[in-house]
Formats: sequence, C-alpha cells, structure tokens
Amino acid sequence: MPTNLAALPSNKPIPNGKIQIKRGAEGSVDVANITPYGTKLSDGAGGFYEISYTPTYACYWVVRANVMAHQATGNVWQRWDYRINITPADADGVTSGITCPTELHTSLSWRTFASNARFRLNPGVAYTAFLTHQYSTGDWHRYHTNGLYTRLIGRIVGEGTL
Amino acid sequence: MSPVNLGDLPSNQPAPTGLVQIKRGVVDGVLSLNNNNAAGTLIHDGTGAPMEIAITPNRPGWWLIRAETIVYTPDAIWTVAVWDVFITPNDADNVSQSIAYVPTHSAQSWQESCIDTAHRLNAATAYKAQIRWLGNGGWNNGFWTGGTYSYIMGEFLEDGSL
Repeated sequence: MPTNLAALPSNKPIPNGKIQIKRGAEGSVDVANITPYGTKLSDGAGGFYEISYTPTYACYWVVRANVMAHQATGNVWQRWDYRINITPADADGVTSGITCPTELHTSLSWRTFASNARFRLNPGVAYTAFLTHQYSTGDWHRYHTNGLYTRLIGRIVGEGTL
Repeated sequence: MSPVNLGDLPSNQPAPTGLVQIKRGVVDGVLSLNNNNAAGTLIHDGTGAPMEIAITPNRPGWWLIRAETIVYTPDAIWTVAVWDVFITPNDADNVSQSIAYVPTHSAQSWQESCIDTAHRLNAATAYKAQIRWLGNGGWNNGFWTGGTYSYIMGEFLEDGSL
C-alpha cells in the first residue's frame, strides 16, 4: 500500500495524514421506530453528520463519533442504535463501520456515546462517512446536534514505515 | 492549512509524520466534587497535577484528542455529571470546548465516558488541553484519578497529501 519516498512527488506534502471534522449547529432531533432505519443524523443546519474524502493514494480512514442522546418519551428503558457508515463500500466491501446500541430512559439526562470505525480506501474514489439512526425499540429518542456534544471526526492514514 | 512540500522539507530533521502526547492519571483515588467546586474545576492526576497535554506546533496542523475517565455519584437520585476537554487558547476555528454528559445514580457503579475531538491549530502558539468538571446540578461526583481509568491523549498531524 505505501509509496516509497523517492517515488513521492517533491512538489506536494508528504502523505502523512488528513483530518476532517463535522460539528453541527444547536438543536435536537427526535427519532423512533417509525423513523426509517438508515436515516442520516441531522447536523441541525439542514445538512447531515457526514464527512467526505477522495484519497490520492490507497489508505485507511479512521472515523470517530461522539453522539449525545436521551429518551424523550415513554418513561421506560428503551434502546436506540446509531451507526457509522461509509458509501460507497470500502476496499473490503464494508459499508457499516460499527453499530452502537444505547440504553435510554426518560428519568436520565443526556448521555454521550463514543464509537470508532475504520475503513480501507481505494484511490480516486469519493467516499462519504456518515451517521445514521439504525434501530429503536420504541418511543422517541432525542439526539443533540450541537458540535459541543456530537461530532464526527475522520483521520486519513497512509501506511508507511515506522 | 498549508503543509510544506516534500522537496522543501529540511533534510536534517525527521519527516513531519506526527507528534503524540499522553497524560495518564498517577495515584489511585477519588477526586470528590460538588457544588462547592466551581464549574471548570480541573480534574487532576491524584498528585494535584492537572490532567492536561500541551503542544506548540512549528507549523499549522490538527490536534486529535481523546480523553477517557470514570465517574460515579453517592447520591440516590439520577443526576448528570458534565465534563469537558477544554483547549486554550481557542483554536484556529475559534473552537475550544467538547462536552460529555454522564447520567449517574448511587445504585450504579462507576460509569465510563469518552470525549473525541479535533482542533485546527495555528503555528507558534502554545496550546494546552485539559479535562475539567463542569458540574452535576448541585449533587456529588467522584472522578477516579488513577491511570488505569483516566487519561487524555493527543496526536498532532500536519495535513498532507493522501
């Protein structure tokens, strides 16, 4: 996968990394088992919690998410899953990075959840990593869209010698 | 972000592939906090030294940060412990804060919580990132100060071509 130093172009930076971060705007969104699974998480500003990258070289993409949520209705324990996804499928055919079940109850306040995924990317392909609402046992779950609490972070890593 | 081309990098220095920092807790123990402590009280490592990392980058770059800790409450009521990763000064995008919420109840044991974030840094500026407690609505919290359960780590990367 890595390119030897002498074969790298001298008129470009070394391929040591690229970072992307998505922070949303103030707000919250409710989802439930009547919300289609796979619905992208909103950024609170008309967009989505997603990041994109088109690599020049074959590389890995480490994607990290922090999501803050709580149970808005029901007064019973409920489960809500969110997922880190990639499209198109990565070089290993993977589209679902990780699915994260959360346990929520209206008696509790907000809670922050953290998750990580990594994908192997082909060069010259425009990839998007994004968060989705993926499962619900019922009632309404609420996630926060503010980047203070919910973030999606990508790190492109080129394998080298170390 | 304007990384330096390979041909312009000094040959008498290592390739700018990244810098890593980690601060682990030192002495096992409980840091007890309540409404007598101000919001923004620094979490320490058990010796009194703050849980913080620092960097003064030579060139602009990205600071990937992950912090992890555990917290509990002795109070028999659902409350929420709020903590953050706070960098000073503000980053190049004027961002300084990433917050996590952890619902706690004395019927529960310790609860683990993570913050992942990223900041775009300017060159030649002395930055530090700290773990702080922001409050829990007037109730009590305990944070573990030992390194088995508490750390803050950073990775500084110059954007490159990949």
